[in-house]
Amino acid sequence: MDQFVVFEDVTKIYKTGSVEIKALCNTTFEIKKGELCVIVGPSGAGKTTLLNILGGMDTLTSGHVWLENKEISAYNKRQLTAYRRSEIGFVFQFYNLIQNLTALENVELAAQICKDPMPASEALALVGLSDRSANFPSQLSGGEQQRVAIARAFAKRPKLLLCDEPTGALDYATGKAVLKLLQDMCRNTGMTVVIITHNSALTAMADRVIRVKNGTVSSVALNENPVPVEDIEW
Amino acid sequence: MVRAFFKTTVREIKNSIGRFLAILIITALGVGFFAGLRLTEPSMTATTDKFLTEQNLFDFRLLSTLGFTEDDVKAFDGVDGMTAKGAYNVDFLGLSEGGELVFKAHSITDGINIPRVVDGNLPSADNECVVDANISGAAPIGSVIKVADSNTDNAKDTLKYTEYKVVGHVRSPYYINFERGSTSVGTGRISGFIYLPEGGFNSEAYHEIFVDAPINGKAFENEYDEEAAVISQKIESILNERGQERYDSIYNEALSEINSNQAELDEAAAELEAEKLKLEDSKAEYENYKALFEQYESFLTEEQKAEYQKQLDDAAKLIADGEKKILDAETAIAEGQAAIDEARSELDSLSVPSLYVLGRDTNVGYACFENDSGIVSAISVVFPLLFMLVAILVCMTTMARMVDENRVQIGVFKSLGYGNFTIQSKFLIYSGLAACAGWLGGYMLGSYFVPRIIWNVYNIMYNFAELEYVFDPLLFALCFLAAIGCACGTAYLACRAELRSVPAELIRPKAPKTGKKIFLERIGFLWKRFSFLHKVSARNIFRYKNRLFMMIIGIGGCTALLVTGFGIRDSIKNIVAFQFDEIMLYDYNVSIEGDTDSVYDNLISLDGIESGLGVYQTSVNLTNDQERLDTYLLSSSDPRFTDFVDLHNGNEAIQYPENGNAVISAGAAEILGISVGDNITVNFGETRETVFNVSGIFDNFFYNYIILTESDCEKATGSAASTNAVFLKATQNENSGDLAARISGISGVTSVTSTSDLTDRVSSSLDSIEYIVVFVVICAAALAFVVLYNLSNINIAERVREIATIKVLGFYKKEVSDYIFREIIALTFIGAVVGLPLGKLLHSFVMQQIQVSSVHFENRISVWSFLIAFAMTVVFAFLINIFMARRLDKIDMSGSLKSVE
Repeated sequence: MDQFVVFEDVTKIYKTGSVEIKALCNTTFEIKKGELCVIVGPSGAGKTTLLNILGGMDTLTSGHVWLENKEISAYNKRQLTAYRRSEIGFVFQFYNLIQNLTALENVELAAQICKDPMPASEALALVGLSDRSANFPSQLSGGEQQRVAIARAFAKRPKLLLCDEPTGALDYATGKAVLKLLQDMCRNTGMTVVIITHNSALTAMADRVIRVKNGTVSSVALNENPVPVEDIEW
Repeated sequence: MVRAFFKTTVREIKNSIGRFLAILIITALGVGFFAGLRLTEPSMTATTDKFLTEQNLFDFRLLSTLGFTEDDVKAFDGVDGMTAKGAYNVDFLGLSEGGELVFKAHSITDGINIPRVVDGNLPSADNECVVDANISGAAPIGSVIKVADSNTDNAKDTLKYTEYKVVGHVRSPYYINFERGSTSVGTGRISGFIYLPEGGFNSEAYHEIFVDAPINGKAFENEYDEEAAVISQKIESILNERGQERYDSIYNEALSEINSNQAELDEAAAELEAEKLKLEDSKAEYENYKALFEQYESFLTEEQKAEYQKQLDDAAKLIADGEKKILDAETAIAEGQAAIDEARSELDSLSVPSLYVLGRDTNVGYACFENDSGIVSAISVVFPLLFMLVAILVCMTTMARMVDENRVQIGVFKSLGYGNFTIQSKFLIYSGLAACAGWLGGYMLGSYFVPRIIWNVYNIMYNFAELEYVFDPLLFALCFLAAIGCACGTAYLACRAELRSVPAELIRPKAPKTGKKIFLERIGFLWKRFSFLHKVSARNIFRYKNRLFMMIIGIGGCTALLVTGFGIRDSIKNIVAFQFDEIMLYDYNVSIEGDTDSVYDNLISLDGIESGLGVYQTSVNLTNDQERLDTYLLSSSDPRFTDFVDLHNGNEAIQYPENGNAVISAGAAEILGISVGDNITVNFGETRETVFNVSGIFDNFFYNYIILTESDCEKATGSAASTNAVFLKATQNENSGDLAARISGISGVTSVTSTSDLTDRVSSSLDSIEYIVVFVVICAAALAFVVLYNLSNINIAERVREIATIKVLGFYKKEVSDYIFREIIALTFIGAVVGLPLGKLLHSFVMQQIQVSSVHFENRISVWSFLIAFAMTVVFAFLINIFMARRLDKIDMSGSLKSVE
C-alpha cells in the first residue's frame, strides 16, 4: 500500500447531553507521501473534526485511520500523545506560541520532546527568522509568529505537517508568504503537508484537493499541475 | 438594572463557580475566624457569668481567725441590700468507693454558692451529702463516705456524723476549674468537694461568711470590680467592728469566768483562814485543859485521870487531823490560783482576730478563668488579619482575571452605550454576592463553631456548662463592611483600568502580557542550566506580581501559622520539666511552724528523704510605675541553696545575692521591664517599701521569685527571716503519696507541696495545647488550600490555550502537569521559606500576648517544628496539585484551535 494516510469510513458523533451531532459521516479518502494536500470546505463541514482525528487530538466513533500502515484509530490516549509527539507537526490558525518564550525557545519547546529534532536555530533559519530568534512573540508580527509556529512544527521532523487555516489571521501578502513557505517545504523536503482552509482559491497550489461538505468528503481531485503560490490570486 | 445585564451576571457566576467559590470561601474563612475568635472570650465570659449568676457565686468571702457567730452574720445581712450567710468547711480524709480521698466539706448556704445538681438531688437529711461531679466515679449515688479514724480531732469534732450518704452529684460555682485546692490533710491535695446541710456540721462558730452584694456589673468586667471595690470598704469597716466585738466578747466572757473563779477561790481561802483560826482556838483551849490537867493531876483519882487523859488524847488527834486538812486545802487553793493565773496570762495573749475580706478574684477558679479567657482575644487580631490580607490578594487576582476574560464583553456593552457604572456593577455584584455569601456563611459558622472548639479545649479545665451563643451586631456589621470593602474594592480597582479604554480597543483581543527577561537571565551560567520548561516557569513566576505576592503571603502565612502552632507547643510543653528538673531541684516544699529546728531535724531524718534545706519564704509585691507583681521572697543563709534552686541564666550560673542586691526570676524581670543593674522596689504589707539592686536574673517558668540575703529580708519585711519552710529532696524511687503523708504527719508541718503532683497537674492541663495546635494546623491548611486552589485555578484558566497547545505538541500527562505546577511548587517553596522567619515573629508575638503573670513561657521553637511546618506546606501544595491535575486532564485540545477570546 503506497498510501500514506488512509481514512476509511470514518464517522464521528459528538454527544452533548441527549443531542447527537454527526460531525463526520462515512468519510473515506487517502493521501500519498510527499503530497501537499488541501482540504477545503465551508465552515461547519467537518474540516476541523477531520484534522483533530488525523492529528490524534480526538477519537472517532467508527471507521479506521492509518498513517504509514499504523492504525491510529486503535491507539489509546498515551499512544496518541506519543503519535502527536513524534509523527505530527501542527500549525495553528492563531499560532499558539508560548508568550513567555522567545522565538528560539518556542521552537526548542517542541524540539526538546522528540528523539531526532532539527536544531532550533536551523529550523528558524529555514523560515528566515534567524535574526528574530531572541524576540518574544509579542514583539513579532503575525506573519513572523506564524513562521515561528511553522519552524516549531518543522523542527520535530514530523511525518505529517497539519496546518489549520494557517493564513486565517494574516493579511493577504503575509498569508501568501506563509503558504509559499509551506509549499516550498513540501517540495524541498518531501514532507507530507495537509492544509485545511475554507478558501477554495488555495486548491490550485495542492497536489490533492479534498472537498468536504456536510460532514463527508464530496470529492477528491488530483491536481496534475499545482500552481506556485505566487501565481494564485484571491 | 437591565435584565439582560443581570442575566449575564448570574450566568457568569454559574460558569465560573470555582472562582466565585474562591472569593466566597476566603471571605468566609476570614470572617469566620475573625468573628469566631473575637466572640470566643465574650461567649466564654457570658457563659461563666450566667453560670455564676444562676448559682450565685459569693461576692465577698469573709474570714476571721476567731470564726463568726450568728450575730456577726446578722451584722452583714440586710445591710445595703447585701445577703450574708455563715458557712462551715472542713478538710477530712474520707473512705469512699474510690478509696481514701481527701475531701473538703462545705455547708450548703441558702441562696449563695448554690451547687448545681448534675444527677440525684440535694441532701434532705443532715447525714446526707452531694459530691463533686468530677469524682462521681469514686462516690456514686447511694454509697457512703466514711470519716476516717486517722483524721484530726478537730475534723472529727467538726463533722457531726461519722458517715454521710451520697445522694447526688453537683457542680459548684466555687470551683469552676479543675483546681480543688491544697490542704494540710493527707496527700496535701483535695480530691473533691462535698456539700452537707448545715446540720451535718458541729461547730461553735461559722468558719466563713459568704456575702452576696447587689452588684450590677457582669463577672470579669471592670464595672464589677469597681462596684465591688466600693462595697468592699463598707464590709471591711463592719467586719473590723465585728472582729473587735467578737474579741471583746470572748475576752470578757473569759475574764468574767476567771474573775468568778478567783472570787470562789478567794472565798475558799477566807473560809480556810477562819477554820485555821478556829483550830488555833481549839489548840489553845486544849493547851489550857492540858495545863489544868497536869496541875490537878495529883488530886484526881486513877479513874478520873484515865478518863481525862483519853479526852485529851482524842482532842490532840482531832487537832492534828484539822491541821492536815488545812494543809491540803492550802495546796489546793495554791493550785487553783496557779490555774487562774495561767488563764489570765492566756487571756492576755489573746489578740484581736485577723480579718479578711476576699473578693471573687481570690477564688482560684474565677481568677484562672479571667486569665485564661484573655489569651484567646490576644490572638484574635493577628490571625484574622493574616486571612484578610490573603483575602484581599485572592479577590484582587481573581477579579483581575475575571475582568481580563470579560474584556470583549465590556467593550461590547460599552459600544452598545452602557454606562461605566452599569458595566462595573456586574463585577461589583459578582464579587459583592460572593463576599456577602461568604460573610453570612463565615459569620454563622465561625461565630458558632470557633468558640465551641476553643470551649471544648477549655472544658478540660473548666467543665460546668454549655457555651452561650453571643451575637454582636457591631461585629456582624464590621465583618460585613470588611468583606464587602475587600471584595468590591478590589473588583472596582480591577475594572477601573479597562473602563478607561475605548470600546474599539476592548473588542480587540488584549495584547498578551509581554514576555520579559527576568533578572535570573542576567546570571548567564545559572540560566543556561535551566531546561526551558524551567525557564518558562521562572518567567511565569515573575510575570504577574500580585499573584506572586498572593502566593508568597498566602503560603508564607500558612507556614507561619504552622510554625506558630508547633512553636506554641514547643514553648509550653517542656517548661514543666525544665522547672522541676533544672531549676527547682527539690521534691517537696514544706511549710513549718513552732520549734522549726526540731521540725527540720525530724523532717530530714524521715525515711526516703535525702536532704533538706531550711529557707525563709514569704509573699511580697514587686512594683514599678505601672505594674504590681505578686512574688515569692526566698532567703536562706545555707550555702547549699543553689543545690536546691539552681540559679542560672542560659548556661551562665547566677550568684546568690550579696547584701543590698537581689536576684529575680526571668518572668518578673520581663513583666516589670527590669534588667541586671536596675533597681527594684519590694513592697511588703501596706506601707513597707525597700529598694534593691538587681544583680542577676535567673531562668524560671512558674511563679515569680525574688531572692535576698537574710538581713535584707529583715529590712524588706520588718521581721527576722527565720526558717519557715523546708525544701526536701527525696531519695530515688520514693512513693510520693506515702512520703507526703508521712511529712504532713510530723507535728509543726503546716502544708506540703509535692513538685511531682504539680508537674502532673500542670502537664495534664497543658495537654489542651495539643488541641490548639490541631486548630492552628486546620487554619493553616484552609489558608493554603484556598490560595493554592485559587492560583492553580487562575493559572489553568488563563493558560487553557497554552496547555491545549502543548498537549497537541505531544506533551505527556505528567509533562503537562509539571509544566503548570512547577511554578506553583516553586512559589510554594519561596512562600514557605518566607513563612519560616515570619512564623518566628508571629510566634513571639503570640507568646507575648499569652504571657500570664504566674507562668513565664519560654520563647522557643525547635528545629523540628520548622521542618514539619515546611514539609506540611509542601504537602498541601502537592495535594492541591494532585487535585488540580484532573482539571488539566479535562482540557480539550481543540481549544488550541479556537480564536483568542
